[in-house]
Amino acid sequence: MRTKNKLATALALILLIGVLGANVVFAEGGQEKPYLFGVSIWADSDPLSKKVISNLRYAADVLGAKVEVAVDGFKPDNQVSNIENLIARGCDAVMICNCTDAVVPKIVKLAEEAEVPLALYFRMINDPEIRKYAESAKYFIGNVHEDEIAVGYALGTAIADKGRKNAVIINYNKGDTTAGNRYEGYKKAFAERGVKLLGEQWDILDAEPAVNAVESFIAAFPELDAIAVGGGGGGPLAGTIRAVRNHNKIGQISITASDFGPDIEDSLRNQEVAAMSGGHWTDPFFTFMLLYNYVDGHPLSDKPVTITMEPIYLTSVEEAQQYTKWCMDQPPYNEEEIKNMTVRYNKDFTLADLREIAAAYSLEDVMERHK
Amino acid sequence: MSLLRVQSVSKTFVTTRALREASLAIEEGEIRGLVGENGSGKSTLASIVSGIITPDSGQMFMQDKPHTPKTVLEANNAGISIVVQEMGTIDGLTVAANLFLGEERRFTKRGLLKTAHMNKAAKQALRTFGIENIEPDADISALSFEDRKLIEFAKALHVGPDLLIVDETTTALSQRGREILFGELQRLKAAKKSIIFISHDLAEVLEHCDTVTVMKDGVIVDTLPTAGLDERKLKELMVGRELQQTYYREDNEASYTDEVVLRVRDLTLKGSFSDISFDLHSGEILGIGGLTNCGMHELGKVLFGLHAATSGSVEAVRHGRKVSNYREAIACGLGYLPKNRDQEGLMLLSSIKDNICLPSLSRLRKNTFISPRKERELAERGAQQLSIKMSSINQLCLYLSGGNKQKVSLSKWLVRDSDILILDCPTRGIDVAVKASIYTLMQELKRRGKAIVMISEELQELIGVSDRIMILRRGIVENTLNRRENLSEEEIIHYMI
Amino acid sequence: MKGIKKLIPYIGLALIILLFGVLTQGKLLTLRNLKLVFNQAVVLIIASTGVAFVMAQGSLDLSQGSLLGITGAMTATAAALHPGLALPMALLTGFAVGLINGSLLAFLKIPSFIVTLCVLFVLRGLTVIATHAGSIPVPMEMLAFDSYDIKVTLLVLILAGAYYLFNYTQTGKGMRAIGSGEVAARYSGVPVERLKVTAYLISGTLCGLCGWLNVVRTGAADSKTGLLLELDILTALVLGGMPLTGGSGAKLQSAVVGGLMLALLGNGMVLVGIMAELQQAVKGVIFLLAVYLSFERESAVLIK
Ligand SMILES: Nc1ncnc2c1ncn2[C@@H]1O[C@H](COP(=O)(O)OP(=O)(O)OP(=O)(O)O)[C@@H](O)[C@H]1O
Ligand SMILES: [Mg+2]
Repeated sequence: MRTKNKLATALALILLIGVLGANVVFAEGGQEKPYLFGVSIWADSDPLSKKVISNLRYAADVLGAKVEVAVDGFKPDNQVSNIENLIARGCDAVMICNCTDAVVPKIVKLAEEAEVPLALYFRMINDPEIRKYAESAKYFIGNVHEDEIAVGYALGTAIADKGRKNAVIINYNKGDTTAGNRYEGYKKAFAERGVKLLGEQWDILDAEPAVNAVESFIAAFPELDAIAVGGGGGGPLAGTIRAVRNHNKIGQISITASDFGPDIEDSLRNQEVAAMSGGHWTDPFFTFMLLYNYVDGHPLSDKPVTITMEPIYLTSVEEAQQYTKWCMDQPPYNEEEIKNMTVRYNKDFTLADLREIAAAYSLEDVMERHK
Repeated sequence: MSLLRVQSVSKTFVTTRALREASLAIEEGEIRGLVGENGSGKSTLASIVSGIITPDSGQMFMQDKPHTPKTVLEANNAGISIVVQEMGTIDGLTVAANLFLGEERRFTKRGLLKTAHMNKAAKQALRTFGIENIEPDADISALSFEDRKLIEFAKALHVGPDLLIVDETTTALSQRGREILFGELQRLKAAKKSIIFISHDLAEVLEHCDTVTVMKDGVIVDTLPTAGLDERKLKELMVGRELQQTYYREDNEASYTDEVVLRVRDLTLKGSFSDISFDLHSGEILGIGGLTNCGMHELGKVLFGLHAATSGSVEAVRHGRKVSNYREAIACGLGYLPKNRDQEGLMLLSSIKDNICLPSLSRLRKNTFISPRKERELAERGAQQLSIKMSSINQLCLYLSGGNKQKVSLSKWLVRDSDILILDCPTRGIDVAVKASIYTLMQELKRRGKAIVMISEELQELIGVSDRIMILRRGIVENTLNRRENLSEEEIIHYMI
Repeated sequence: MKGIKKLIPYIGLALIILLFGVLTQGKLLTLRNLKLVFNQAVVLIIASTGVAFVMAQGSLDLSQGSLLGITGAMTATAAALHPGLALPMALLTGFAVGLINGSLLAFLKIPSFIVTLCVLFVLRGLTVIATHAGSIPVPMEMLAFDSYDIKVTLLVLILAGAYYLFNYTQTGKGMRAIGSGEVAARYSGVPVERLKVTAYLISGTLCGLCGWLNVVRTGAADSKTGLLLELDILTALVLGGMPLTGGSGAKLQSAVVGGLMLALLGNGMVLVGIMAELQQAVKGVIFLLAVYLSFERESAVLIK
């Protein structure tokens, strides 16, 4: 009882001191401000989001700008709140990986009201009505995305190339555009190459449910020899590998996944994965460049822009080593290259140039430029 | 060498000085009575000695060793155990589990509690106290108030105390329970053990105690041998002024109107009582007596519609309605004072005001609005009527002394101006002065045409205030006696057993 | 000294405002940002107001998060038929779930946290099914309902009504009496079962309204909508000084003070740029502190 009263009194005292101190702090003024870019992202601690953020920070540094990150957990309410918050913090532009088309109208509306440019990364808008609405908005700058059907197709083909015949797919939740498109791609490749799809499991967002799902599949289908992880090289892939290892089936079951992380080299060496797509963390970088040019007073287009990117595919240890060396240990685009993607430093830079750079992105491309 | 010495112990609760510089010494083999008005500090003193609360200042010695218990367990180890005034058993546990609470290790083998073992030991313990009717594996909440009290008592004895404190327990007990209790006290005394016995029943104190300590407003007034002391003298010491001689009714005849207000016909509750019929009249005080498990406490609950009767009817004649649930009962002007006041009578975590006003809310409201001012006035009036000792009507009931809780519990029906009051042990734990005023009040109500059903374990009280006494035995009306001059306790007991 | 304990929630609120006011160099307190905080807090405050009635009785309502989800889904589905159906549908869904919660609790005598926890799971499952594990968009014109004027008006009306009901009527007093001691309240004539159901009807219906507000705010009903809202509500109420036991110490103000505290805390941490995981941890620690400071050891014995 007594301690509580003391604590309460202490809190009141801190309050008092704080009030006095506040006057001093408020007196300080601000100086000339660098551009501030707001990024709403699903998380900030998994490999993909970490890389996205660090890459954006690097680019911003080069250009003397700042990046503000807000985590939304892929929940619509949080995404709306984040955009509100970021705008309130005085961001000059905001970008988001929207969890569903349905939040786009609201987010676009917020941007319009605040007259802050907005762009999407990793996403295209599937719903025609919503796409029309967004593209008619003055402050919707555009979106960058991967051709996920192509990704699924490429990885599905890699499975077939290994001679595998019986596969399952585990994936993010239904309704997630990316996951859905990869699924379509896988199915297409399997159908063409005669790989049997034994089963599929959705709503796998984490390692634990992935372990459970995969263990059930292994138990149910002794003939199982391939697992396609549609969504997520983070938790779901880690869980899948764990389950396969638990059943001593490493090497017998080929795993493919998207979004590779830092341990891709080991995974390939240990035959834990057969092929992976990834490296597309540069996608938000192109969204950022679109926004930067806009904010800097040199919009690359007066209409919303859609840029399509190719991911990098890795199927061997050597490739992975190269990838680590050229894309992870050093930025895929160096200072000079970044500056050259802005009209500020490169008067002749156009949207077509940016598209070309994005389309050319691959392991060979990076090695070529930096050799 | 004294067994227990208490020196200048004081305790203040927020603003209430509950105990001031209290000193006393208890000798080996002594039965010490402790008396005083409600809120005079008896329970506070007992709680300090037995480790329930710690004093603000002062010292205590047990067999000349410093005695500073921080928990009940520490006090137990020093040889002191207590039967508390309020309910001290834990609902949801069995009798045996309650009895051996804190001693489970004795019955644990390799981490497993041997329930059968414990039950057997419990059965044995209960039998040695002459308690035959309680099964050790029964859920304690299914037992009657008295049985639960007896289990607490058994638990306190089980510790094997050098000093046993019994706080205001007997008024909750029937004749049988009291006999068991006093038998054990005598046995302890014979074994050179000591007892502090707190009670508002002064006759009982004089009969069973060697010495008596009187408290008033947190101060120990005096300690006297009981020999050569009479009730009147003791009362004067307690209250600090002379009291009227008797507080019971002066008249010797039943007197009530012809108007029937409550008609009870063939009322049966399976397992408790059967075929009870009577008419309650305006201006009548109907006493109901019997052994504690004769069904009279259950009868009170059924009359008030808290339990549905198996068959039979209760009719509120003025309203022309049968009463079948408590909401109807209240609407028909009934009020009910339960025996188990801490759980059934009061909301301990609410203020005195909230407790007193609760049944009257429907009368206080205008459309839907309940004026805080009116609530306050009502509560003030109720508190004054029974002179509740409190710091303000906003005080939580949790912090009231036992007797004052009882007053709050009664007050809520008085301020509602109930026409028919069902009172189960109305003067339980109430001091003599207030007892007198409650009896006076009951007569006042009677004069105003109210009707009262008074269920009581106290034969004196039954004889003293009732117009008629209905005696139950094993759930059946054994006899109904009219008020008359030479009605004796023996006669009533005759029908009870 | 006793009085200061009652002030703890207010001191806490002031501390949060002050701390983040300083850390954000006043940005927290700009009109624009305060409007934002209000915008984000309004659902929490309204939902907490409803749950305050439940907690006053010493019960819990853990179904709120999923209820927000399912009302969202129902609302969006109804809105697809006709936008005018959205609000009635939201209120009806909330009311119905409140009725189920209350009836299970009052008549089957299952403890409230179990009942509402089960309902939480069931409703989340239904939400995932209804949204096909994704999201349902609502007609874009419905975003127009997301205006400050509407929200401020609604909030003022609801708070005024709830305050009156809670403090000045037999219903509110009866509910608190149940929290203080159910048996004694019954013995004093309080219609215990009826009030229990009523409390859940209030909390359900208000949560239904929140479901509608949420849908018109985000433009979508999602399978994840409202996830963990029930814990935010609980935290807000406890931060606001609501005793877990309910009873006479229950105050409706807790919903407002706690809701604002939580919203300001969240907004402030975003403004300052604290990592998301750390934000959760900070909330947890503050919650613990609030419970510790407001917990009455004496009365703990009496928690049912
Ligand atoms: N925990 C508490 N907090 C505040 N006041 C208390 C507390 N416990 C007791 N009191 C107050 O201290 C005084 C003494 O109470 P105590 O219980 O010792 O009386 P008592 O002599 O046992 O009375 P009774 O005969 O009614 O049982 C009373 O005025 C009571 O209101
Ligand atoms: Mg007492």
